[in-house]
Amino acid sequence: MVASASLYMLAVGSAWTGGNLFFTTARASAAGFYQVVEAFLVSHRLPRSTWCRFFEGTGRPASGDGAPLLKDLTALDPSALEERLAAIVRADFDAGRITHIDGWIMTRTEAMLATALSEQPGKACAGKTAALLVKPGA
Amino acid sequence: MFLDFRQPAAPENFEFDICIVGAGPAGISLALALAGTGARIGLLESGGYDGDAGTQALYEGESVGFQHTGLDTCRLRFLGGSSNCWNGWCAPLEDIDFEHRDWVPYSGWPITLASLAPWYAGARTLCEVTSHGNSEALWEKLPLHRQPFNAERVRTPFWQYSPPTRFGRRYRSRLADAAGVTVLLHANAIAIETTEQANRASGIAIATLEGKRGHVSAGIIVIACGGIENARLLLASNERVPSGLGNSHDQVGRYFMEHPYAISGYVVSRNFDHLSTVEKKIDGARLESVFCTGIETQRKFQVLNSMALVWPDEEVAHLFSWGRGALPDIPDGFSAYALMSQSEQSPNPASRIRLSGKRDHFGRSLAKMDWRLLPIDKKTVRIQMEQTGAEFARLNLGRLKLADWLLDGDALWGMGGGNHHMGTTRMGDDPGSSVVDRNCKVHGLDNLYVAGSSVFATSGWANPTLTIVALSLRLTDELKAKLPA
Repeated sequence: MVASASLYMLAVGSAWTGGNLFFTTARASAAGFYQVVEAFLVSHRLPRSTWCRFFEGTGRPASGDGAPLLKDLTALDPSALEERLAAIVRADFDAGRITHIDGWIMTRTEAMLATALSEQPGKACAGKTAALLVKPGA
Repeated sequence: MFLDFRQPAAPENFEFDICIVGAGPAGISLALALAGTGARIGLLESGGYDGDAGTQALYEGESVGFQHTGLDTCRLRFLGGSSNCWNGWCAPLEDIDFEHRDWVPYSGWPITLASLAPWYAGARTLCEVTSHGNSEALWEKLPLHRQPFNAERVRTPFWQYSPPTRFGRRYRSRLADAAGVTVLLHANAIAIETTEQANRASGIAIATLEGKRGHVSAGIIVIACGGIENARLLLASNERVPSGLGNSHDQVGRYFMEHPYAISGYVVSRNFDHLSTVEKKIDGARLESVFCTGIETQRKFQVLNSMALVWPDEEVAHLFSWGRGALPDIPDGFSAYALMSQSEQSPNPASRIRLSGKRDHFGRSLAKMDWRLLPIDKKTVRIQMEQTGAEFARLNLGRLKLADWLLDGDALWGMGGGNHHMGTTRMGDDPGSSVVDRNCKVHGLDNLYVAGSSVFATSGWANPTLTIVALSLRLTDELKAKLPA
């Protein structure tokens, strides 16, 4: 599981940071973007502690389409972001695009967003990911 | 009239037109409905008005399959039977429960819900629940907001709560006054006797724990001893047919079903009221909405029927998760509630009641329970939790976390039985795959009938008592037609 999670992290990391989605073209707006994302997830009662568990689970978000979505979202004005997120998440639920990580039921978009969020400095899981990946018995 | 068979003044031999073995909800409902027909009705009860250790010990047995509570602790053996430990939750079966479903081997009843529906009204009366019914149409009568669940995924029908009716205490005086009815207490049915050709039941050997023996002759015999004991009595009545009565196709005792019961998830929410399974009252009737798997979801994912409710006490969630690491840290402002599921079990011929090598006080073989679950039984719960969780989240009611046992591969350790014993003398048109026909008559015997949940071909999610009583009242019409003019 450690190996598969590490490979997954490499793959996702490549998709998000290697593509320079936030750290080049959108660096200036990334903080605002994640503030909205965090508020959205909290308002939707996805416990913050859940985010830390994403990398523990055997399930994983749909990373393949994560990059284009993040690119689209970060292009939005933050004031329009929450409404757009709500629409996407609702459409996910309507279409049954759900997953579960460590047992928590969520949409694939939420899983992807929360995963990205948890990687941001100062956020709930920042600095914990590595520890989780080497958690004994994980 | 009540008679205590132990008393010296009580005769040893009896003759009835119809003899019913077992005075639980099925037997008492039958006796009351047959009273006043001019027929002589005998109702045999192993115990007395109250429980006693000696009689209860006759329910001892072995459990060799999946974990189950002791056979002598999950049912009661005195007037009123296991209604004496009933919680009173009433709901009828649903249309889909009677269907043959391609993805559920051995599913399908030879009757439909519509054909049983007329008897549910009488069953509600006997179980002391109102005629409001249980359908989602009840929401229209409730002054409460109904959450707009996608009904393809989550349905919200109702349970009604019986007081609960303790059939022995509640109907004791009516039985005492019932025209033509003799209730014989402390009369243990030792074996059902047959004609030499074994195509007709001729009588019942009876005995007390103290050693008194007797005999009952009857034109029609109905066994109504419960889902385990009905099979045991047929298998143990093997004087003329070594495999037992009604068992020429090796079907008696098979398809033993429970309602698998589990804490299957936890909901993290800010507001319990939004989860809307709390108890409500209409005209004094106690009702509770439950979350059921949508019919379309059952078909799409090829799972069974299932129900869940949210346990209202947050402490329960912590209690059930204790030691299992199932419940994570709860964020400030949120509370966690446990979701209890009760689901249909797939009919499985390998899940069965057999005779044990151990013997009871009378030298009869005890029951040996071999309860077995299949992967579809776990998949049913998991799909229900996923769909319910998705709907909770979509409506912003809360977030659901699957219980750890659902994440543990094929493991079943989170499941248990609800003490609903069903299917061991299942109803069907084909004697090769059933024990009783659509009229509850044992295949191959002209005058032997079975009442109770042992005739269930499938179980649905609903607690069985209401349907047990409805089927008993339906059987009454069949028996009346057989009585001499």
